[in-house]
This record gives sequence, C-alpha cells and structure tokens, in this order.
Amino acid sequence: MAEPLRVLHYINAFFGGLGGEEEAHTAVSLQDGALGPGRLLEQILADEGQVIATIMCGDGYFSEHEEAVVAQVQGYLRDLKPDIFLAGPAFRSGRYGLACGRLCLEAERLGIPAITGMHEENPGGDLYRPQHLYIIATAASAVGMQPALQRMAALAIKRRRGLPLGSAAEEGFLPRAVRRTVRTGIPAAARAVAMALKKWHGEPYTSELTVETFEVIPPPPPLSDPSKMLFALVTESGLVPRGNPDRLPSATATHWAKYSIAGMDRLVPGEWDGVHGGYDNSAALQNPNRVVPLDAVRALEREGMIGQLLDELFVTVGNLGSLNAMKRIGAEIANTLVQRGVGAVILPAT
Amino acid sequence: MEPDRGAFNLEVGVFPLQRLVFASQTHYQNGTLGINRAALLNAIAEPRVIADIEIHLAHPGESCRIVHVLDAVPLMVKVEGRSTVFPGFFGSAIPAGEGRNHRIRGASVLVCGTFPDPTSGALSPAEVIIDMSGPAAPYCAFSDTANIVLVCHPAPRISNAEFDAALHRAKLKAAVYLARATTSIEPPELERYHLPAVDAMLPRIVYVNLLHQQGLMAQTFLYAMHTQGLEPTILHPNEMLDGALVNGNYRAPGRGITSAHCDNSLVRELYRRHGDDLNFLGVVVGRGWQDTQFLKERQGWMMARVARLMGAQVAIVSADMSGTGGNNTIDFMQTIKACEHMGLRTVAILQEAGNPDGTDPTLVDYVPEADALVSVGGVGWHAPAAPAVDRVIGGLTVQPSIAQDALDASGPLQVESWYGAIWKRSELGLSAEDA
Repeated sequence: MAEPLRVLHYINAFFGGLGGEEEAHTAVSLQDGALGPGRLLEQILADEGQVIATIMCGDGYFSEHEEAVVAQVQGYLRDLKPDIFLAGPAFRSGRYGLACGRLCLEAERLGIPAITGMHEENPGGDLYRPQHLYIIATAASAVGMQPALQRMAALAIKRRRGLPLGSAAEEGFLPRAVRRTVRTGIPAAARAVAMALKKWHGEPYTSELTVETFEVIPPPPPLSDPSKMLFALVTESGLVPRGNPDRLPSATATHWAKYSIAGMDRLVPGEWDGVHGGYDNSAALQNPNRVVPLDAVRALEREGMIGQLLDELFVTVGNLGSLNAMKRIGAEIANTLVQRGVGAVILPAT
Repeated sequence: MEPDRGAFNLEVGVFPLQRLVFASQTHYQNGTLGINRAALLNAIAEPRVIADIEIHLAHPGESCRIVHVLDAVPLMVKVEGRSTVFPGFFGSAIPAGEGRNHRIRGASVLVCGTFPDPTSGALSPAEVIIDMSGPAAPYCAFSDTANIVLVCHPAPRISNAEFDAALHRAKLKAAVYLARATTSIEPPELERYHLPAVDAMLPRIVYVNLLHQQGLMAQTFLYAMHTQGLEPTILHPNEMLDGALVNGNYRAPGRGITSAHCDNSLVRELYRRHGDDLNFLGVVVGRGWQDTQFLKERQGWMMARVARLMGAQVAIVSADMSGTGGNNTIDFMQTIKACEHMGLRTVAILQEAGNPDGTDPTLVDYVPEADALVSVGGVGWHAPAAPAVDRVIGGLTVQPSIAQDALDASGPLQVESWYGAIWKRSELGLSAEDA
C-alpha cells in the first residue's frame, strides 16, 4: 500500500457552512483537516488519502480580490506541499467555478496535480478547459456531490501515482483541448458509415471530434491620427530575402524573423522569396509588393497620410500554423513593436 | 433483350501478387510477375521529355527506402468494355466503370522524380518517403505492396509542366503494360461491382468528395482533365475503381494518391453495405481548395445541391480520404453546412492538425453543423522515427523541410509524416480522443 496522499481541498464559504452576506464576503482562510464536502471526500479517499487542510473563501471575496487570494493560496501550496489539490466541485455556480479553475491552474503551475468539478455550462469551464485543466463533469447542483467527488478523487489519485488515464469520456472530465491518438481497430470509412446510419435513424452517436469555439477577436478601434503614428508591416506570407536566411519553414512555423527595409522604396523582384507553402506564390515572386505592399505604404508616408514606417519587416509563415505557436509569435512580434514605439500595424494576409 | 450499353456494371478479375522479378519476358504466374525491363521501358519511354528512367523493384520487409515519390498507381487493364482504365489518358474520355478489368493486387507502380525548374510555395512537391520495413513502415502507404519504382529524370530544357504530363503518361502506361501480362489468364478471383435497385426504405447515401486542385503539382485529374474550373458532378463508384480520378498533387506527404482514388475505402465500404442497410447512390466530386471565401461557400452549396438533386438523404464528406488540408478546411466545413441545410444528414471524415502532443486547437475552421465527425487523428502525430536503411531508391538526399539542410537519404530519419499518412491512418483505424 502506497503512502496516503496529502490532499489540500478548496471550497467556498457556502459549502463551508456559512450563509447570507457572510458567505459571499468571507476572506480566504486555511484550516486543518476536512470541512463540508471534504468529509465525504475523506470517506471516498479511505486509505488512499487524507485531507490535510481546507482553504475556504467567499465567492464574492474571491472575485473582488482574485490576485490577493491567489497569492495567499500560492503560499499555502508552497508551505503545505500537498500531493494533490482538489477544488469544489462547483457544479453550475459560475463564481465558484471561476475560483476553482483559477486556483487549480495555479496549483498545476507549481507542479501539483489539481482537479476540480463543474457542470458543463459553468463559465469557469469555458475559461479553464482550453488551458488544459482537468474538470470533472458534474450535475448542475449538489445532488451530484458523491459521484463528482468520487471521480475527482479517482482521477487525482491516478494522476499523482502516474497511472495511465483513459479518455475524457472514460474518466468523466470535460474535454480540455488535448487530443491523443488512439487505435480504434476499425477503418475510418466503416466508422463513418456506421455513424451516418445512426444519425439517419436518430440513434445516439458520438462525434469523434467536438468542435471547439474560437476566441472572437474584435477589430481594434480606428486610429485617432495616423499621420502622427509609427507604422509597421507584419506578414505571415513567408516573404523572405532570397536564400531564406532564417530558415523559415513552408508550414507549421514556430519562429519569426525581421528584415531591414530601411531606405527601400519598394520590394525588388528577385531579391525576395516566398516560402509559405499554402499559396501559389508566382505573382508574389514577380512583384513582392503585391504581398507586402511596401510601395503603397511608402506612397502614404510621402503623402503624409501615415506618420512613418518602421525600418523592419516582420515575417512568419501562417500555413498550417499551430494556433498556440501563432499566438506566441504574435505576442513576441507585438512586444517588439511596442518597444519600438509602433502605434499601428498593417498585416497583409495571404 | 438488347444489353444496356450505358450500364455501369464492372467485373474485376483479381490476380494476387507476392513477388516481382526481372525476367526475359513479362509474364504472370502463381503470384509472381516477371518483368522484361527493356519491354517495360519501351512501353513508357518518352526520350524527348524524360531523359532516363530507372526501374527498381522493392518488396515489403526489405531494408529499403523510396524517396521523392510523386504518385502510386494500381496495376490494371481493361480486357473488355467501352472505355479504357484511366479514361481520357488513353484516347477518348468514354464513360468508364463498365466491362471487365484485370487487376494485379498486391503490387503498385510508383513514380519518383525531381522537377527541372525550381519551385516554391503551394505549387511545389513535398518530400515524400516510404520505408519498406522498420518502425515507420506501418505508417507508409505502399510499404505493404511489391513496388515497381520508376525513377524519372527530365531531359534538358524541359519545363515542369511538360515533365509532369509525361510522368502521368509513364506511370499509367506502366500500370497497364504490367497488368496486360494477365489478359489471357483466367482470374483466380472475380469481383462484381454494380448498384442494383434496392429496398426503397433504405437511406439513400452519397459520398461527397472534395478534390485537391490548386494548379500544376497540386491537382487532381477527372477523365484526364484537371479540375480547376470543375463544377460538382456525379461519378458512379465504378468510374473511380476504373481510374477516372488520377492524382497530380504533390503537396504534403499525406495527400491524395491515384491508388487511393481507385481503391477508395469509403467507396468500398458503401458498396459492401449497398442493399443491406443503405442505398449507395454514387459520388459527388467537386474541387476543394477554392480561392476565396465566396467561392468556398458557393462550392459547399453546389456540392450539396447536386447531392440533394440525386435524391440523397445522407452525405459522407471527405477530401479524397486523404486530408482536409489547411485552407480547404473552410471549403470542407462549408460543404458540411450546406449539406445539412439542404436536408442531408451529414458525417465527415477529417484529419486534425496541431502539435504532436495534441494541446493545440486542431481545426482552423468549424461550423456548428459539423456535429458528426470521424477523425483520423493528427497528420504529424504518431510518426515513428526510422533507422538507417541498406538501400535507397529515388535519390541520394532528402529534405523533409526547407527549414533544414538536406539529409543523407539512407540515414536515420524523423519526419513529420510518411507517404500517404492520412490514407494509411484512416485504413489502420487511427483516431483521436479528448484526453
């Protein structure tokens, strides 16, 4: 028998037994042993683990002092060094879910396996599932406490002990934006026909990929006075100086490069190459300005429509780019632009 | 009664193959195909365009790697019927899918080559590699067939387009020439393909197939014509078995293959169940990889419109069973959406993208109507590294990514995807799950 695991449990003040105003505004506190649902959790853990302490906080207090609470909980995690961190379950309570999600994320960052539980409609799930957090799917209310804690405990034990995990459906957690290759033993064509017939007959079927919604990126507000701003050209078109000095790949880029365009009135054909593997680049090679419109931007600069153009062109390859890599590349380029004092970016797409 | 000359009834005489050997005459017997190298060369030679053709043989299990692969073709010939196999490539484009073919199963013609003029961008061949043995072999298409490999070298001052056209002729002629060794032999197995009327209550299913078409080196031929301006049309599945679709797409290694068109596993599955629990109406083909959002949406509606007018109630959407691609994910999703909106219950087979650890979002586009998806997993996932090999066919170096220097083709290799990766994954039954 392995050593019992030392569990740190987070609950809100309501589940800690407080009510009314007190419930919402209770500051974060730590107490020894199990409290509220933690007692049931201990029964479920039996010999496998013990709730060494419980963190309690009012949901209102958390949302008003999130960073302060996080700092305090980080301190508890560092001091107590629990084997696992369990939060909630929060069921459909949105503010509780947001607190559980955030604190689990902090525990994971410290290398402590963390599990929470939420109903699939809890906004905490929408926020923290894409960050790969393990969130056990629960009922909408506390009537589902027992099965939720059982699954949370089972998953936490498996993770801590390094045991293989089943799929999200098998372990009972919400999809957390992590995909794993599996062998079904059945060719895709046969699975597709079987699924189509089920769909036709109105029988239940399970899609092998649940479509995740994408982050909506609102357009920025209009520029107040472009004539006084420093502009930059940034492109994912893979337009690079001939010879591709930074070895940008034709697809799935993980880095970016910058090239001097100081003193250039236009991009000269023959001096540039298009390494992006996703579009027919023959027109771009004939006239690189049609991908990166340096000629047109210089004209705007001369006319005083825009203040000035930065002397560097920022380039990556968007073809089949991983969203996470592209987010990082975008942030790195944006940081550089901010340091250079750039106020506006022209982003020609392919 | 007069025979129906317009029917699509096809018989395929199947000749199993275990071994290829060079021989003094081209001759099939008991699973062995002897190949007269000079006669094969003579059948496919085009010295004005192809200066030199090397012919190599490679069998499953050999320590052998085949590189710069452009396409693979099944060995087949029409012994009776109104058209030829690969219709349009050998004379008039007469409707295929009828009569009798002979097919040597277990063998493939592979064509390899390097284009004379430099290429970059989308219209550029990707490095494509097959290992005939070792840990990567199960993930390489054609590691399990005996292969006749044609390594083609262009003549001086020949354009990429001229060379490409000659490569298509060469591979198809070779496939027909070799299959001809069986024409006077009674086939050990005979398969019959036709779609008789079935119980009217069975759901009427179409296969909606998006073809890869972007330009030279990224195209699919329908009856020997590229599909650039193709409006969606209907194929009887027998036309696909007969080679009405020929691959001219050399992009990502996971892409379409002539053999995969001819042996399309979804066509086979729908055929197998026709009359049992479904009514297979046929295949809608149209061009994927359209150039603008307007055209992508239009294409979706045009595909769905044809499917609906065929009387379909259920649609299964795939892009060649090979790969939905990046920008084509939009065409693909628009097709699913349009099919659902035209009243078809729709299922789609797709591959996922993103990093091998699966923590990236795996689709670049989606529609809420895509609620029944079959995944073959991520194209770059589960691609084992390969050790050095004894023999390499097709070139001395490989360059799986332009971001890296060329590598010794015989050395240990770690590539993102092997030849036919997506097709192979779909056949092997690989999928992905939330984990």
